[in-house]
Amino acid sequence: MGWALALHGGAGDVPRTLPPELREPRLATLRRCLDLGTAALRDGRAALDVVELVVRELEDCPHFNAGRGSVLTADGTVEMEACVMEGATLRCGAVSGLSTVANAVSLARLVMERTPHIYLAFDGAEAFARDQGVETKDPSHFITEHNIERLRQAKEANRVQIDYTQPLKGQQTPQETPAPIPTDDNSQTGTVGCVAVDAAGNLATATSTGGLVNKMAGRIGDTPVVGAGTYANALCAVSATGKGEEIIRHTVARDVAALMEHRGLPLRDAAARVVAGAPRGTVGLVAVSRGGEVCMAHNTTAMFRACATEAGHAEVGIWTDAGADGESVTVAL
Amino acid sequence: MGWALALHGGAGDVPRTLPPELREPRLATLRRSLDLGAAALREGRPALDVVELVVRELEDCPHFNAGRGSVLAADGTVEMDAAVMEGATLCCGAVSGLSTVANPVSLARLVMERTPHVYLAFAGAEAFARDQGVETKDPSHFITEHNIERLRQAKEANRVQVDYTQPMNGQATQQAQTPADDNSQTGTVGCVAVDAAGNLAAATSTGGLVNKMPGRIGDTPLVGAGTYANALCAVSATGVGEEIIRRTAARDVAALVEHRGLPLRDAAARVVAGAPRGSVGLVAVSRGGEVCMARNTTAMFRACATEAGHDEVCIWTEPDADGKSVSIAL
Repeated sequence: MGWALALHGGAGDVPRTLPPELREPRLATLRRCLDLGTAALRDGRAALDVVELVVRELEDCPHFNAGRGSVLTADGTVEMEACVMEGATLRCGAVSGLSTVANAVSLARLVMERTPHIYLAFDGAEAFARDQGVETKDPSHFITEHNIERLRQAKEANRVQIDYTQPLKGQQTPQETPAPIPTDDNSQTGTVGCVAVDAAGNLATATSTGGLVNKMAGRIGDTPVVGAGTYANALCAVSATGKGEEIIRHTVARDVAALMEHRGLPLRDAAARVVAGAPRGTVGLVAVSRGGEVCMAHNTTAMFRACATEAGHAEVGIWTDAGADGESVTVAL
Repeated sequence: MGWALALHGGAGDVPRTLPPELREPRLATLRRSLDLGAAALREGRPALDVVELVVRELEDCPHFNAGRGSVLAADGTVEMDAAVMEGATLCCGAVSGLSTVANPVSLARLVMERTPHVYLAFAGAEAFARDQGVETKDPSHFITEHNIERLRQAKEANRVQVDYTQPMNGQATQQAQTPADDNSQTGTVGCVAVDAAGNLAAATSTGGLVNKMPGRIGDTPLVGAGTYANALCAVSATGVGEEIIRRTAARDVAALVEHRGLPLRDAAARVVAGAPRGSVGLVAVSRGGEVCMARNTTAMFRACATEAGHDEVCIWTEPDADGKSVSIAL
């Protein structure tokens, strides 16, 4: 038992040759977020508060694909989405198509708490943000040079990239075809998310993203789809990252919980099975259980991640890193 | 085995006093849609084609809350959502926030077949519709007098209404309240089918909630919530979208079949019973040709048919002899 926390900054085929100037700032942010979340849990803060504050910190960091630093659509704009879910009550909130809201995850929470709805998108979501007086910025605030360059490269390659650059074909591509590992693509940022179980045993999850580089305007991914990229119930909390379309069709987050509930699998086995069921290179997730288990699983080369437990385990990592106690699970397909 | 088909025009607390002028046109459309779908299945059409053509028919009918006849958002506009899913491949497509597209279900299928994405919404979805040259109409085409009146009533009562008018009080309220005098009686539409080859498909389409906040998305386009199909079964749900989302209703039916080995009917009954009274209805078919139409509301406009010869069109009614309809009294 006890509290536990896990967070991610995106999964993908990040090469181990990632240069220090791209690696160190991200590790530093992961570390800072882990410390913030851990301190809050020690203070007795509720899981929902903790996942929100951690994801806000990740959104504010320009090195991850959420909030500032979001990847660009085919139009060169930013369309952000986010979702929160509270396990004990199944309450949830989601937003899509935001362009000016500084912290999409917080707006998602306001949808949950201040409207009769779960999910608001595009103009309606932006209007709600203004009604609520949340912090907004000029759209240019969220756009970084790095992402302008990534969009340019993607357009040249005439492909849609996930955060860590798996070229996508239409859905007619059989799922058994492994995603090719790009030889020269240097995209290295990703969706962010956090899951936590607090001292009272309550679970919560939050995810936030700018989506796919060069996505069609209006494209919605897995992050705000409850049961796909984000899910929490009384048993566990899950936040996923990767190829949004795969995560949606495989209802990844819900399936982890379903395997625990219906098959009695431990969290780690449930997560490993779900991740193994998706095409290689498409999925990563972090999860915690009511009992304080933590799992960080991915079928990609890497996942920016961190976790900590009340028992004293703490970990910040990027690549394949099956620790002595098996907290990280990498599924080789 | 054999083919099977089920479709719905929405679930809710529709009173048995529903007058003939509101009841008969809906029953006629359900019958016509059932016949179209059954004929297509007999001809050997694939399940995905069948659910699309049935839902198109329901969208075109102004008496149901989808396509023409969609309920109105708080600002008096129409914002339509739809989704399709193919069980054998898990391929899916969804759209939200449409205001001019004549048949959202068909645009959802185009998202699935002609883009690398699953889900497009609002301005981006409308732009895609124009790129694809699908049929579009002036926004006024979708708006009916009936729904203008429903919106007016909802604003008077200062509430958001589900198709069959469950007033909502924020997500803190678990129980949907039965309205005393509300005569709103139209609903989300959907269809599920298993074809002669054993392939499954689901499709759902809606205008959402009366007086919803602009930009509000419900369960219909969220894979796993209002719409889902895999190799075992296909499900299309209707009711209080927010309850269906948080319970991942459609996915949960399939999960109970897959992990607990429940027959389709028991899986559907369990999921429906787990939601607040008056909030959920669904239709489902299994690969083996089982059909189920379950709800925890007073009524659900629905119809189903099987290759074995079962044929049913109804609104209320108790479970029939072979239990195709399941009504959960809570």
